[in-house]
Amino acid sequence: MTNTKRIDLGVLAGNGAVRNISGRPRGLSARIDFGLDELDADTEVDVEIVIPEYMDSITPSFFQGLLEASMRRFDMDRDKFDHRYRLVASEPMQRAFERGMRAILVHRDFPQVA
Amino acid sequence: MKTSITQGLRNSPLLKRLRLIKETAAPEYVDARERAVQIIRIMLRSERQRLRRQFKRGGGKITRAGQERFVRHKSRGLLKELLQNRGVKLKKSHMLSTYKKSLLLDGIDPGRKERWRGHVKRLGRKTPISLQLKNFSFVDNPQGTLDQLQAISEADCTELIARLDFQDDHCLDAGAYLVLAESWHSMSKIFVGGAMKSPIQKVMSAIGLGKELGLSLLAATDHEDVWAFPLQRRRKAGTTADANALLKPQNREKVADQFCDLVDKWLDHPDINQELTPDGRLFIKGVVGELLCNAERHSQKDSIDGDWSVTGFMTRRIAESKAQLYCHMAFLSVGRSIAESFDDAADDVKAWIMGYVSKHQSHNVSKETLMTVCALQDRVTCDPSASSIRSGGTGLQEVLEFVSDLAETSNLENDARLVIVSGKSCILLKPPYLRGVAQSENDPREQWCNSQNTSDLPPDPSVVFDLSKHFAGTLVSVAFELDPGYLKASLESENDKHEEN
Repeated sequence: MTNTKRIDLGVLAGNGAVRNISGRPRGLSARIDFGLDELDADTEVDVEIVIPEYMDSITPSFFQGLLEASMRRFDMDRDKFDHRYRLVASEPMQRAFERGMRAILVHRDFPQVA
Repeated sequence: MKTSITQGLRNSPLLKRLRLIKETAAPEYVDARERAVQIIRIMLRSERQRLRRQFKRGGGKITRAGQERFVRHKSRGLLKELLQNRGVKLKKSHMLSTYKKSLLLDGIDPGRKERWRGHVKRLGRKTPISLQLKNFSFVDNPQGTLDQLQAISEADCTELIARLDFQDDHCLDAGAYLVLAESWHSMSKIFVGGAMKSPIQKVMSAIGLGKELGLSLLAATDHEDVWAFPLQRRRKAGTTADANALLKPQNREKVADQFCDLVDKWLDHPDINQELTPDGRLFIKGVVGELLCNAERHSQKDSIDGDWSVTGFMTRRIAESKAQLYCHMAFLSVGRSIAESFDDAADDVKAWIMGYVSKHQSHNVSKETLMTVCALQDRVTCDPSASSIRSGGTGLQEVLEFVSDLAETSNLENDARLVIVSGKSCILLKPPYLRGVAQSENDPREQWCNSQNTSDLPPDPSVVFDLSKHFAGTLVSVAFELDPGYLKASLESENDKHEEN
């Protein structure tokens, strides 16, 4: 039986002091603060990311900072990620999350210089 | 007693005002200047009569001649003082002013430090110089605007007093005024008076620049038809002391909230009567967040604690009995240019950029400018730690997408412009070179600023070009027109689509 660890992104927004979160460094700091590396390593724990209703924007770069390392742990496999992570958010915030995931998954190889 | 009357006249506010008109009125106001001189002469004539009345009646011919000489001597001295501009009095603040370093001004005006003179060493002019600011806009005239800022800096180095005449009919760009405001505090306040049309005064007053620049904007009695996002700054670079600062709400996030509320206010205008959709809010806050976060992360070497300033406004103008809404936003970070920030980039990023540079570098476009074009492309980041984990480098494309979306809410989309001024590089983006294009869903978005959107061809020289001066930092300035009728129609049709679904 797995435990569920709940992560509330509202904490980063001062519980309503602002209605958006931005920036990759913020995502990286939040990752450390929430202990996501340890949670990813523990196969008995699922993670629930909660985005409060009042939030209306989270930038793709924040999600890159927060979840890039998790995606790498799951071999950039979205299905493996979805198996461990669950998002509780409004529809627009789900779209923001998807933008972040696209930014993580974008093909980054530089073409050979002719 | 006799002297005190003369002294009183010398200090009279009316005479001071007349003298100011005579000294500072622009050449085109010759009448006003001449009239001021005439009035001064009339006042002196009456002063002479008053002085004469002070003497007792009687006395010999010789005494009367001496008295007359005295009167004429006094009035002649006063007239000479008034007409020869000997009376430019230095304020205490001017006497104490010293050269102030400014990354922006020192870049735009090379040799500024060497040319800067203390005020006591400056020579007064019979007629103060008058700087004509015309087409003062980075989105329309980037090189010309830098030249005008250089002229302002040059005057600040050597003149005792100068006028600034803003000749545009309207504020054409938020960026030019933002740069002026950020440079102003490093100048020694020699600018007195000048011409500025009422629409510009209104905008300057509404975005708080009147206060910033210490200008009295007498025509800005109200802010009707102007909606402003007053100038905001992050605290100085490198001053973050809190170790947990990144876990707390950031200033840029507060600014993003306020900016979004402002756009909502724009859309709430009776001509449009709409509000931002949740996606609109997501996008605008995303862009403000991405741009300001980039400014913090990349403008200072070895630091993610850089500063920025931001302003914006919308104005409503009536043209051919139709309301038009013009929106302007500007984001400025002072420090390293985009090209300079690539000194830190990962080796594979540098190699790829240099491949592109070597292919297209010519006498028309510099290495620095081509590097700036590379920065537009998704996945290109100067942050080596981000590159090492295959992350980052998508912020500028997010911005281009946002502006493209806003521009498409108008049937006047060709009026949308976004200018990036960084170092000696300028990229002036407008449709069709605005939105980046991805080949497929997970491919990076690219905008190479040529007709085929390919890195194999050089960028269009009308869009990507070198500047003659160095801009120490990065300015992103956006201008677009909202067409109320079209916007309403397109939003209604979008709502219909949602309802159908």
